Amino acid sequence: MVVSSIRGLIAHQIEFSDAGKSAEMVDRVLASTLQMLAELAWFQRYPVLLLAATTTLVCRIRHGTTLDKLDAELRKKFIARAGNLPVYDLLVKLLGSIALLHYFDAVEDRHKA
Amino acid sequence: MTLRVFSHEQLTDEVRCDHLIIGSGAGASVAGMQLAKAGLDVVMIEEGSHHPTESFDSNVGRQTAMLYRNGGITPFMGNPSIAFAEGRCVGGTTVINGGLIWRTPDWILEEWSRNHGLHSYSMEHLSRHFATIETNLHVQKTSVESVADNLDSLRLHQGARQLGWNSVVVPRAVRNCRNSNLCPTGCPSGAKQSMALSYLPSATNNGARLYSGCRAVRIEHQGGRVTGVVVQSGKSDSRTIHLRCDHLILGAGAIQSPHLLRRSGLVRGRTEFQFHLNLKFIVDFEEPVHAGNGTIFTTQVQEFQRDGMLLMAANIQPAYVALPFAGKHASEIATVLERYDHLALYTAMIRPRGRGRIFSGLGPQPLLRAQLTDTDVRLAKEACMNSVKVFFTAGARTVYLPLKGAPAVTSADQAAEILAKARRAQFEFVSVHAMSSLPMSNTQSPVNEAGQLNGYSNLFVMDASVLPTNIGESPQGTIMAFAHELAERYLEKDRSG
Repeated sequence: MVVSSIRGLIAHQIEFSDAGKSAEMVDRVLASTLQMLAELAWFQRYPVLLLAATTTLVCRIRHGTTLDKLDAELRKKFIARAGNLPVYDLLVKLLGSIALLHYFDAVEDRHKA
Repeated sequence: MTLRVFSHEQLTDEVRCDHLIIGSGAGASVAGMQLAKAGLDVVMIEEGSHHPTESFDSNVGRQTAMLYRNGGITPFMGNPSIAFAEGRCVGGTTVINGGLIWRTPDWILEEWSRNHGLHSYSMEHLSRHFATIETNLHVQKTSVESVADNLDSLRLHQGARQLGWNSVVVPRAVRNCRNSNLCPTGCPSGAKQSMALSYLPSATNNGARLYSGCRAVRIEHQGGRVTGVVVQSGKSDSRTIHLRCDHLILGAGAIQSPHLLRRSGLVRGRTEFQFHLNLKFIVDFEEPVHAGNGTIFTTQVQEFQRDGMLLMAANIQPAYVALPFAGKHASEIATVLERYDHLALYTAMIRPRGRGRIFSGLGPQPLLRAQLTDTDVRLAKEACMNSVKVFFTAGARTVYLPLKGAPAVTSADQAAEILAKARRAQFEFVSVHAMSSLPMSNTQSPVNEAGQLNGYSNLFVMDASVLPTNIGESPQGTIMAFAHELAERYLEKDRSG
């Protein structure tokens, strides 16, 4: 319920290139993001999870699928519209920040390998 | 000197000490070293893990998760929310800061003497401590003109000078800086003299026992005396240890020290703190600056310091350029990153009058809230305007303002128009300095001039909590100087029984 929306937000954030669009990269960044979320205090973590769950619900109702399975253009529009809501933009910003930090790590590791 | 750290598995109920220090950051490390050198029996406990220099690399995300509390995500809730970052590792925030070591501005010490009765903390009293710190940490100023790679700092310096503004070279605690530009994620060359490379090895070399991965959860006390501390040792394999001590020194930082006191019932009522605010700018220069080849904060524009504003270059990595655009689609970020060799990151730091508040009782972590005043918002706008003026004078082509939804600007006039209409909720603030949560004073205050918590004969505070107000400059030097003075007074008291 929650993970699909977080995966969708991550995909939106890191699809810089073919590498960024790959399922492998998204899943790697997702794993790091979920780990960081697990470290947050409950009063920070639960609102994030609630918003992610709400995203899943709204996306299913509007588009019949989850955020991570939406077409990239449609996903971009969905996130842009939702980002105008006062609390939602905090969620997008927070998850986006974590995703970006770990994406660039993954790119760095690829260069080193 | 090698730092010796015991793991949390080695901390047992059998460990006893005369002087227990909680924390291992700037203040705690000074206390640990001074007391150990004086031959006292000292145990230090640090919540975070020990990460030796050899373990540091250039993976910004992984290092941030490893070295920062909550992976760098600790917001001050409010309008706007403010991202707060502090270290949680052996060495504390000194492992992840820029290593700037400034002496406290004279006017700040005068203000503290006048308004808080701290007459024995003048520069006359503190200057020998600053001299000791500067020697111990190999503090030096690197001439920005001599470092060919540091073009982002040079541009800032030249831009300020062209405007007739005061710009100075920054004193930093570094030895043989390699310009790796990784100061906020642990210096991989060991050049930056964090506490883990300086004061803590000296403390453990003189017999202090330092345990990592040990979180103090409650202070036990009876009849106005501390009897011990309940410690949670480890994470997944955690155990509860009851540590006995004769004296307790708190050096867990301006948020965690008062949080622990509140959870332990030693401080009640409202606990407020003060802080500094950072505004980050991405500047795209006409000519390449290769800012990634330089290092952090080598120059500082101090023209408006008395008004509460400073400006300096910041570390640059692709991740740091991308972060302000988090939430926007990757394609928009990619457009900015294409100009990477022309980009530089700068930080304007402001000294707000607003206050933060610590709410305890929601679990192990405190909830933090901050309220900015209208004056703070005006100060932020002025800081943005002053920064933009320097950037365009220095040859900027485009400046990305720290404002949600604002377009990139190509002139100071355009920036002025945008800033005039900017609402407080649009500002994207970051804070890395919290302080003054247990302000020292000779009048009504939780902590007296000796750092002693009022009402408790054997409990002392020696960290950023005790500074009477925010100072409008990087506080590490001030925190350490105060800790030196407090440790000296503590030792005198100990000798006199």
